[in-house]
Amino acid sequence: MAATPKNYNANQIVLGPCDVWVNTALPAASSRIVLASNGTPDDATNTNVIHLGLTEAGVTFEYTPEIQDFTSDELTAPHLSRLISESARITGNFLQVFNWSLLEKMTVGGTKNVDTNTSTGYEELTFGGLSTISTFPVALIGKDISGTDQYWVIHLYKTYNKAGFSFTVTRRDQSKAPFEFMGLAITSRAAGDQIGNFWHMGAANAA
Amino acid sequence: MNPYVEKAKSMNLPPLPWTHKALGEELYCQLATQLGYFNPKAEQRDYRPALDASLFAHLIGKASKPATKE
Repeated sequence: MAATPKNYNANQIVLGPCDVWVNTALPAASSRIVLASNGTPDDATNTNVIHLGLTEAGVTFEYTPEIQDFTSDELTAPHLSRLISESARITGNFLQVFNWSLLEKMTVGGTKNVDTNTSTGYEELTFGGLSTISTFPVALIGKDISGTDQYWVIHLYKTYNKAGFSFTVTRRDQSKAPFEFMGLAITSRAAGDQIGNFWHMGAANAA
Repeated sequence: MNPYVEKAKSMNLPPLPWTHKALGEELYCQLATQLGYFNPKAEQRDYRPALDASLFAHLIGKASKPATKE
């Protein structure tokens, strides 16, 4: 009788920092976002992408399934379970609240206006009166802890910022605003690939 | 082989970028639907993310036969 090997593997730990990219391109079925050699989205296909910039304390990814257990009068334990709903979201606090391209995405009903005139120009965000919400893909990208130039990606295909936009102005602290990118399903993609993906570059990472 | 790559070989793929602004609504919807991204007609009208063309980049400008419209 042989022993079963233990799975102690430091390369399977995820350690930050990481970067959030808003409004990436959408990968085709059975495909993944293409990254440049430094782990940023490829600029040839991600022409409208916005880097979220600095965060207060990193980023949280959360996938939450809602499971329904079915029981019977005859048994003491559930005999059947089904996935009823699932939610995926990327949350945190971003610091660069003075970025109007980002604000347009963060305020789901906001519209950015720009005048590039060097003397009278401005950047502006107007809001109020729109009932549809702005949705876009979001990618969370970090470097593989193994030390190689490989990266991991959490990509939500269709999100909106559920946290809205709020920040406090105070002498004592820097500006920051919460974000909560809520993953929505794209119903016309294949079942199992409707909300997003989580993957890393390179060969399979052991057991 | 990815069936969408096989399909793309017979299509006359436009140059990058594959954004809604560059492609226009009709061509955008055609590429998104036929190459397996999603069906824009089944989504709200302002959800039109750029299409990541990297899977098909090697086929751009290399249609093996005239593109057919389905």
